[in-house]
Amino acid sequence: MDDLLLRVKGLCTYFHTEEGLVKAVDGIDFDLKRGETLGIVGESGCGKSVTALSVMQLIRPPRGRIAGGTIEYIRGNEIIEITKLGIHSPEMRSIRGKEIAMIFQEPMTSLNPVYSIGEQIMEAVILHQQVDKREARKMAIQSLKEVGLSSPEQQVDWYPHQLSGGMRQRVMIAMALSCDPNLLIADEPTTALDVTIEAQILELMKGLQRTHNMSIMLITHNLGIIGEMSKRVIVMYLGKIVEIGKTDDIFYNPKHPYTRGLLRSIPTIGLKRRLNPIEGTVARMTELPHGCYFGPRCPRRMPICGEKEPPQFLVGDEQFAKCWLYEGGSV
Amino acid sequence: MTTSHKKPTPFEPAVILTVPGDHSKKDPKHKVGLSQWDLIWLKFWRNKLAVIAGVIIILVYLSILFADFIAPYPISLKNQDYVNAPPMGVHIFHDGKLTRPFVYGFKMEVDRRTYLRIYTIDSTKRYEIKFFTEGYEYNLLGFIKTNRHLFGTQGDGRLFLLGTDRFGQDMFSRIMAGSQVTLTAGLLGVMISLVLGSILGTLSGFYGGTIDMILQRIIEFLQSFPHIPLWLTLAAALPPTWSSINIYFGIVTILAFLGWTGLAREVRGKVLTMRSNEYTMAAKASGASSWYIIIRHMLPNALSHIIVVATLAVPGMILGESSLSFLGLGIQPPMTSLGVLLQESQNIRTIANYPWQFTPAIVIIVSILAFNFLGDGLRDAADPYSQ
Repeated sequence: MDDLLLRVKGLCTYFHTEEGLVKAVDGIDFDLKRGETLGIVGESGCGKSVTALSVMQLIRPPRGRIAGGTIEYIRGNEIIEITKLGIHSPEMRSIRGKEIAMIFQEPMTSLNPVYSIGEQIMEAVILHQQVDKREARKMAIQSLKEVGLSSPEQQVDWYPHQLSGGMRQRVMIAMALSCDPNLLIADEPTTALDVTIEAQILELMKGLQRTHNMSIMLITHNLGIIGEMSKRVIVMYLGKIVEIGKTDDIFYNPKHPYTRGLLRSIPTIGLKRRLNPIEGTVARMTELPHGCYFGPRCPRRMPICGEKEPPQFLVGDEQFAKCWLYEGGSV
Repeated sequence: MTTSHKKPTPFEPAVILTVPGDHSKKDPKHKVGLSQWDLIWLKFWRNKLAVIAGVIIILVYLSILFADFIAPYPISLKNQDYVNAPPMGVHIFHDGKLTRPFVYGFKMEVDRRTYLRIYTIDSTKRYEIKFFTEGYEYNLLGFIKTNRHLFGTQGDGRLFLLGTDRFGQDMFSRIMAGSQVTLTAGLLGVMISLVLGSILGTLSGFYGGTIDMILQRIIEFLQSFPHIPLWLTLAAALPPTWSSINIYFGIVTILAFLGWTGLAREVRGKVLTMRSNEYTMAAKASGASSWYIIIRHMLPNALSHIIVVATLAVPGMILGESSLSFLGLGIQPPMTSLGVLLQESQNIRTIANYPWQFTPAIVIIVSILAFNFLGDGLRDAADPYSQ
């Protein structure tokens, strides 16, 4: 309990669209410990990013809303229920950026083109800390140094268009870390970068996590990144958690047919075999199948799958799978 | 897989100096970093037509700022001896010798058959043009009392650079005064509609929902009215007892209150795209409030576009004022505007016999073209990252 940082219970985030109600996140539970990296993985549109945005309360009304469940943020002995705070309330604003920071997928557009990168980092610093401009500038330079820019004293005055994608993502990380947050939400932080830069950024995030002792919620569709970065992983499918557990267990002993399918569909260099994609396509959010959402695509479908939604079954050490195969603890 | 075990280098060195645009290598400022405004300026500077248009606009507005100083005569000074006189040529040669600039006097005869006044040059009378000469008294910039003028003649000599009208009033002086009214009306009108359009457009785009719905319907309603009848109705509603300066502000306000719609639309569109931009999301994720994001992130990004739209809106305002005055419902004499001047010359006799009385049209055309060229140049420069 004392090393818990975030506890999400039954979180439901719905969007009202022309085509009907979209349950982008539908009743998920997980918790996050201090200093831990939690990976969230899944196909596009499975609710990973919406989960992250819900934690930040950045779901935009009136279209989207958190329809149920709680998100508790634990600060020392105090438990703050994020879902109870108003979206625009000062309390929420003081959590955003200061306690929970976020970096986005697209570093090319995440920086405002009219300000130098220094000004943008200083902005985040001044919003949350009682410092003057000179002090803020020093802190900006310091955080640029931390993320490995070569000459932060000069580069602090550069504009976003002068930086490459990798450098921009470093700046985004610097901005996120400038207020020393307890939780960093990284929403596909390296998807837009090439592979060598990706490795550098991940290495950087790992290093900074150690020095700042912060938790990271890492959202990606790339299982390789999860394998490298996180100890624990959540696999999501159509707004629900289908499997949760330690990364090693999930990688070497996956239980849910969906997780197995995901792992099988990764190409391996040197091994000449046909790729094994998961059959079928993700169901439309507005026309969800009965029972288990993965049922229609599942190679081990049973009659019950089309009738009743499976609960989470304990399938190993801290490993849960949402699948009827494990009814009665048949691990 | 991405599990590269190469030790990461601190940064990617190859990319640092490949800044878009080659100027960075020559420009010593590249060490500090070129801001977006620097880039816009550099791109604008390369468009010579727009730069020339910008210079013309600055010159025109400077000259109307000092209109009384430049104009040799007060606008209502009537010269009975010089009714409908043609423009006087300025000469610098007399008897084959270079002299100071001067004008010849006019000899006037009345055609017995048509009763037209015919002016012929009387080369026995020479009037030297004096600079910084004394003339009628006025307040320079509104508060410096003086009677100095840029140029003029002394004694009984007259200097009508662009001829005179049917009362023998100097066209050049009247055009100066008329431009002062028309061109400032354009600028002032755009400023008012700029404020209205930016505020309402931002509200509409940022908050969306009901506010957006109502504002957009109002805009559509205003835009669906035919402009000229609406202007006429509103202008006719201005009390005739008002002084000409009040009428002037009334006209400007009418033009502005009908002209903000396009600008509001533009700003709304810009705000809508920026609202879902990742940097506004990032600002929100770092705890900034809505107003902070509007003022600090959206406005500076929309500003270049606002400037472009505003520049391109000035001609509409100028034409609006001219049209109203031309139709007799705008500026009232003795105040004058380019539209009033054109209205005074709207008859077949003028076209046939006194074509110089159409010079106000040239002023309108030149300033509108200049604003359009400047606006186009600014629009191309406003997005410096596009190639």
